[in-house]
Amino acid sequence: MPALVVIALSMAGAAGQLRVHTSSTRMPSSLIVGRAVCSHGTWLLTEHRDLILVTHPARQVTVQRLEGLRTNDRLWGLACLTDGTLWSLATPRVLIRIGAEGVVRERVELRFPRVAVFGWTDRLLFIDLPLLVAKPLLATAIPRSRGESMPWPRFLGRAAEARADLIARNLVNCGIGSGRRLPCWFADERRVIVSDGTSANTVSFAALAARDVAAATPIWDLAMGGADTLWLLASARGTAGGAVSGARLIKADGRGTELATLVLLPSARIIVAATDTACVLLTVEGSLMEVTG
Amino acid sequence: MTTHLKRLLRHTPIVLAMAFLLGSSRPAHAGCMIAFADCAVRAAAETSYWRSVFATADCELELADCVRRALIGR
Repeated sequence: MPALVVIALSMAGAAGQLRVHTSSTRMPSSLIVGRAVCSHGTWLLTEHRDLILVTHPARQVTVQRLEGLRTNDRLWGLACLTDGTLWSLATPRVLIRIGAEGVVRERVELRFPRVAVFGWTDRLLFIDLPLLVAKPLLATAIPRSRGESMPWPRFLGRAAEARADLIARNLVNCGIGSGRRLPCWFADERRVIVSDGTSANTVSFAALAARDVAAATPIWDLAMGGADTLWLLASARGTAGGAVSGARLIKADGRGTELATLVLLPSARIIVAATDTACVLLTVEGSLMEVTG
Repeated sequence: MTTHLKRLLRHTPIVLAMAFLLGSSRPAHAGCMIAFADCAVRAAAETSYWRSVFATADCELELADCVRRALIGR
């Protein structure tokens, strides 16, 4: 279990009052298909079945291979509920519970194919097929429930010219929440909807109007650091049409008003953890970067 | 069921596949569309109508998986 070694970088990497520290840790580079924040740490799941734990607040990193999957399983999503249980999709029709030791402990057959799953309090937040235009897209339910779901506010199915675009138009991503409040957004939107499952408010960010922001996925990631702090990871396409990643980190208040901005070098893949004064990122180079301020 | 109707039904999955593809031009998931088209052609070549329908449904799930990896995989 390699401990995170924090090295302070020179202030050349900082902007405004934000300061940067990077670690010597190297994480697996395969595609991250799920992130879940538990009370003791953040779990990341990769498509190659790596289950990564970054503890809070020590930032110790553990990488283990997820065991107990079947040959045709194709992982997607990760959710940590208030009881500490960890859930993912083994296939669109099978929900799995993952033990903390990295072994599949339970398989739950789903009534409808599921294309997304996140955690919210003691419930799963998910998108089931079929996608219905103008009907609630997201719903919550306890993991083993049969049909007792509750619609999530605001997200209604959006129309598309072609059915293939219907999937892309209605993909929703969710960030790291605070308490019962969870920020989610349509993949191609420039605003976030923060909801506690009952009420919701929309937050827009001026920084996302910049020309270099990737149009298909402007919000690369977002975390609530507390009641009134948001950390927004704005996307940008790499040089020479390269892969999209999080190129700028913006600290904002709860209304989206920018407080500070930092251009990230290297750019970031995902937010791992956040508080009012710190945001931990996984960089494209596989290191952990902590931004404070 | 007439031979004509049977032939029409056999082509339903490929028609649905084309409906998927029409109007879709986003580069982030363009590769997904190509893979889906291949999948739909294989589905249409199944030996019975219902096998074709189920195979097309699987193609749709594969498309959804591909698009989500392209757009919200990190």
